[in-house]
Amino acid sequence: MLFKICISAVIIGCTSSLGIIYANTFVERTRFLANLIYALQILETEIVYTNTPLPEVLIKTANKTSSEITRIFENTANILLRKEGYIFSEAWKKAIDESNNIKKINQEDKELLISLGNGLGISNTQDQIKHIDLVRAGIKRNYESSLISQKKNTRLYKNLGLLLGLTIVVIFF
Amino acid sequence: MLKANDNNFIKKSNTLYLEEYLCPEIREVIVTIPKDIKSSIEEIRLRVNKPLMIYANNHDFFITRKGEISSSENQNNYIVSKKNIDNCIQFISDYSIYSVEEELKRGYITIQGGHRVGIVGRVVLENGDIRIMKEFTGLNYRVAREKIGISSKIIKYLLNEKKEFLNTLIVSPPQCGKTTLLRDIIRNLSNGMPDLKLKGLKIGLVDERSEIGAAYRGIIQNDLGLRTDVLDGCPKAKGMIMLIRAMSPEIIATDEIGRIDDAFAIHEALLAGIKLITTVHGNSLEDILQKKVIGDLVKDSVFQRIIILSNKKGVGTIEKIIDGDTFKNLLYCPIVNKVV
Repeated sequence: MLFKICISAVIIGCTSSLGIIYANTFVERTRFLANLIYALQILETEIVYTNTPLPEVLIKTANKTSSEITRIFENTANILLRKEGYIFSEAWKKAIDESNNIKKINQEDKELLISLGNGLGISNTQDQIKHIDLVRAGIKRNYESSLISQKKNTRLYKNLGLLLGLTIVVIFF
Repeated sequence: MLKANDNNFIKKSNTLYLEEYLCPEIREVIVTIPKDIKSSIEEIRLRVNKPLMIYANNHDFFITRKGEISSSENQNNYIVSKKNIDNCIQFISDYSIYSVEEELKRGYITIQGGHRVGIVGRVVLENGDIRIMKEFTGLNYRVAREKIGISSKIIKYLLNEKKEFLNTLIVSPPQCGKTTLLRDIIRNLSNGMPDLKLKGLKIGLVDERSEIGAAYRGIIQNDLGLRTDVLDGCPKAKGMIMLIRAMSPEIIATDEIGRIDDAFAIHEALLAGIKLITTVHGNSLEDILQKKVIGDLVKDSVFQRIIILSNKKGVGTIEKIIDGDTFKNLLYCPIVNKVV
């Protein structure tokens, strides 16, 4: 009997954690997008008020943010500082592709990130503001929809995990 | 991918290379040019849909895709595309056009090592002023070469018996080395010359076009001596007044004067007992005397020494050093400055 209880606890534990892990992907996306919005704010401020060139801006911004976005910014800056002949948009795309956790980033968000890189640095300050604003509008939209799906799905998948465990236990024992 | 470090042809120190500022396609072509030509390159010219050209030893050359040079156009020439120019601009501007807006308005950007890149394209106006330049169509990489020591022979002519510096004007046609000579005179005066028993002097330099010091992100790339204060990018007349008030210079140096307010600032400096060294475009003393502002200054004997440059015996030949009071030549024969 004790053995059965132990096995049941293990099964329920496992499925519940699976549920929690899956639910967390929604939280992670929201956090990533929130960080990105913050990073864009810093980027814009640096471009408008200090006119600092992009490699330096990226390093500065990377120091003030966290999550995957930091790594992308740092990688891009490193590629640019090596001066191997990559233009900005190529270096940016390379940094995104090299990022370890890129698979976790939603395809839609990734496209927005790439479009950000395609326009950065190639125009005057006014046009840079417009470009960043445009990308930010897209990211905000994604952030809001991510927040809604996070609220909806987090509890759902956590509960599903637990229920799946219970179902297995009921059926087999 | 190319390694810029492998093929440095314009070496100014261990870390500065011009190739980094060319797009990879053109970099690849330029690094294969024969060494003797490479070491004498003065300009690299890129024009949209036109052959890639270099200017060296007073001649221009076309370059083929394999890096061979020819003096006439042929089918194998490397044709520069719009994308090449756009990409080069990225490297020149440190991937950030917004950070070089002011430089684009002036038409050139100074890059690391003091080299300068002239840029042309479509200019957008706002209320009659240049707002920004877009759609770039041509680049001119001008290689900066410091010629340390070229003025050492002539400093003695610029001093009086008490070893005081005399107001000096350098007269030269374009491309004859007037800025280079001015830079080296500044360096020598600022450091002092023990051979001539000349102690180092405090020099205030107004570098309106960033040509003399070649400031890159505010840091002077050329050696201007120990006692030189540089006001970078500042209009000459205003800068001279600022230096007089703020930095107590013994000598004020500027490049290419000629406007009425420059003359006003020069008088202000003379009143304060400050010595001057400056340059002006021209071929001869007669040529200068006909010019309005500078002609009047010369007639008033403001300048006690006038150096005339030419390229008759190579760039930087010092034709004459004229006494500003008697208008007599102090040189027996022209001094030839060997250009490397």
